[in-house]
Amino acid sequence: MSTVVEVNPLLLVPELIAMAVDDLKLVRREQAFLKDTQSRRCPVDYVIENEQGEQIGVRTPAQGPVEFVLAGDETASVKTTIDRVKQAYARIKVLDEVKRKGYRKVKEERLANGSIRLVVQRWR
Amino acid sequence: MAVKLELSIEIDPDGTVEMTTRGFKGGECEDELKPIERALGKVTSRKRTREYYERTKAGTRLTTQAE
Repeated sequence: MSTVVEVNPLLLVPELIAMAVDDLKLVRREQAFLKDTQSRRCPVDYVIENEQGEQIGVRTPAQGPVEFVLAGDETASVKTTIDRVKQAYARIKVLDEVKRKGYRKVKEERLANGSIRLVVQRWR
Repeated sequence: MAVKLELSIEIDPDGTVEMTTRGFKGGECEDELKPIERALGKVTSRKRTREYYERTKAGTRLTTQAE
C-alpha cells in the first residue's frame, strides 16, 4: 500500500445519474414538476420513485452538482434511496475514470455492510 | 520487468469512495489518483503509508509536499 484516499463524490454528470437510477432498477418518470406536501410545484428535470412509492425529484442546476428535490420531509427510505443513487453513481464514475487510465476490473463484490469493493489492475 | 499496479476501491453505502493504491513507490500513487479524485469530487482525507516513503528505483528519496 502507498496511499489511502477518501473522496466525497459530487454528482456532476446528469447522464451518469440517470444510468445509476436505471442500474438500480428504480422507476424514472419524465416530469417537469414535483408537488410537495403543500401542493407547491417544484421544477425538476425528472422524478425517481423508490420501492415505497416515494418520489424524489432530480434537478440539474446550470453549475454545480445535481440537486435532489423532496416532496416532503426526508424519511429513512428516501435517504436510503438517495444514498443508493450516490453509490451507484460513484461506481459508474470510478470505473469510467480508471478505465481511461488503462485499468481493468478484476474483482467486484458487495460487502456485508452494503459497501461495494472493486479491485482494478494495470501493468506498467 | 513489468510491474503490476493495483487500486482497491471501496464505495460506502452513502457513496463515499475510499481508494487504496498498491505497487506504487514514492509520490507516484498520488499522481495516479489525482485525476480520479478531481473527476470524483472532494477529497476528505489522505493517508500516506510506509511504501510512500520508500526510495524510487533511482535511489532518490522523494520528499513530500505540503498540500
